[in-house]
Amino acid sequence: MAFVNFDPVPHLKKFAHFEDLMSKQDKSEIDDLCNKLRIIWTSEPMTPMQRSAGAMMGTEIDRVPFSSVHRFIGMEKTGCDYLKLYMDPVATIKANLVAVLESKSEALFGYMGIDMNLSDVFGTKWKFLPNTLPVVTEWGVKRGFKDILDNPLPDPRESHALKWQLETQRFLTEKLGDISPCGFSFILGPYYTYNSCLRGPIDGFYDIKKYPDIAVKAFDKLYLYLVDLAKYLIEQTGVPACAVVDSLASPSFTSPAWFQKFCAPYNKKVIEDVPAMWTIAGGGQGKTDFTPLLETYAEMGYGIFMFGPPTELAKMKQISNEKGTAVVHWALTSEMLRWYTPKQIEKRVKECLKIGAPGGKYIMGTDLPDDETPLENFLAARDAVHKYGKYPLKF
Amino acid sequence: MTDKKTILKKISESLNAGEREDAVEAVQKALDQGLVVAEILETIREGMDEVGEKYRRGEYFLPELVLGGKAAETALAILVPRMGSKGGASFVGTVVLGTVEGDIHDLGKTIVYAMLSGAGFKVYDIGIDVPAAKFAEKAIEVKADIVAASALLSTTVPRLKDIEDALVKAGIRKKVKTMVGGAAVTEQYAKSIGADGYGKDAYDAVVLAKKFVGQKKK
Repeated sequence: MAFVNFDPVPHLKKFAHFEDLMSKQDKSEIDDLCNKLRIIWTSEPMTPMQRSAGAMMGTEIDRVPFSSVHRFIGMEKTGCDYLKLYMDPVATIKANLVAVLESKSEALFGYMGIDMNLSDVFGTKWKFLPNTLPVVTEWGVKRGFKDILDNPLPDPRESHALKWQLETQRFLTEKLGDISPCGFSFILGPYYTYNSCLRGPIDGFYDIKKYPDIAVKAFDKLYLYLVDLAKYLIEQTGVPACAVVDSLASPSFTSPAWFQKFCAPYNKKVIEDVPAMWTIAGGGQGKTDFTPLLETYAEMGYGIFMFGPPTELAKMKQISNEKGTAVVHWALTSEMLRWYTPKQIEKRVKECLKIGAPGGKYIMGTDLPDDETPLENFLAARDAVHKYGKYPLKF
Repeated sequence: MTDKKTILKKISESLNAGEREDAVEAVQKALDQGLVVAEILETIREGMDEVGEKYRRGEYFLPELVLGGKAAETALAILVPRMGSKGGASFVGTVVLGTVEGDIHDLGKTIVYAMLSGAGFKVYDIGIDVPAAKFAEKAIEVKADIVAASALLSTTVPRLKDIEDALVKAGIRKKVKTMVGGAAVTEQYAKSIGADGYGKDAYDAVVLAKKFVGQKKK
């Protein structure tokens, strides 16, 4: 059964460039937002780009970077609901820029809209909902590995999701890429791609259990496809880092045996095959404890760990000191951000900085704030990093 | 003719192996050979208990749990039309299950559905992105013993409190037990909103549900 591309937002098809979607007023508003960010970001001794790059490389920097954004503030302030988020790239970019300004953040991420991880070119269908993320209504891969092995895999350049991801990332990079790390490129491992984007986890797990040897053949084919895609993303956007986000390949979602057979070999190869400056091991928000896998990830050659609690910061830092791996630490969970008082948040940030910041190679972030996270809590985290994260460190 | 013990063993093994076709075949064979529904149901319950226990011990992982639950669910579909008839089998209790409004995550709920069904509960899965009032409406309609809700996103956790409020508003809060779970939910949060229980995974959900039904019967 050949794959049929699913185009969820046909009205965007006629536009080739992000700029074509903007009215004069849109352009003026977006320019204004970018100018404001430029002024703020050049007012400190280092730009966010210099600071982040320095932290990754372990060179001298003015303070610990804080790489988190309260995205819902931007959505709330600009009236951008979930439907707009997926249907209207201009509204999304505005919401994104306003969020960065309001959160006084130094991170600028690309288009946060249609991030469907290629499921569209494989024919996975979804519908948009007004108050939350889109929901899958039909998986593209219907006959298991046979579909993957018997068919040519679809051209990722035809992916609606990818087109707009790249286009908006290009726009932001042109606007602010000289002073801000405008996000990083990411691909998903074949295990995650198959179970989460193409086939669905229940049938996906079943296929793997029933036909493990065929699974390897299918994943080999998918892997080459994903690596080509990663190269294309890096070439198109010029971003320096590539993450292999495989949260389904975490201790919560798979067994050690399956991890070793279906996840680790591909995660390891990607480091050799993808020409990114850094490769990031990350994923698995919430309660996933990656501590037992940290040594394995370091041995694979990952350049960056990107995890939060319950994964242990002290262990990440120990490995960082031994092997030079940088740490992007989601120091505050969503629950902490929402329920802690600003004082408790300050205390938590200080504790994490004490462990993570000495010697550099440490960027602080947070898990995603929820829509009811008070902005003052978020700003308490950001302010604490500015106060206690200055080098040389003084606690 | 295969003996009864062998057939029941085959049912249990198929759940442990997560083989849905084998589970269906074994259950059908048991029925064809005249085994009573209650006995088959009990075997499925025990089989799922075993899968859950292996998961708790760290011997099984999420895929095994998902596949075992799915196998039990598929096998049970054959039994449901015959329940309450000859053989005297009945459900342990009735559960209304859904993912809260604004949340479209399906996997956790699907596993809980399969595990609760496998444990002998009549489970009404009301889907994903479900408004709070719907939980209450369905609970009234099916005379539920338990209302179970999951929230996977930190953004949708507050909707769990809305369900508690909706049950109070509908006047049935004291008649049902509530349990909550999902990646973004904590035990502390469950207590703070007045939920009767928090399940950190599908295994916990089954243990809790059995406890609730046991309490109700006393």
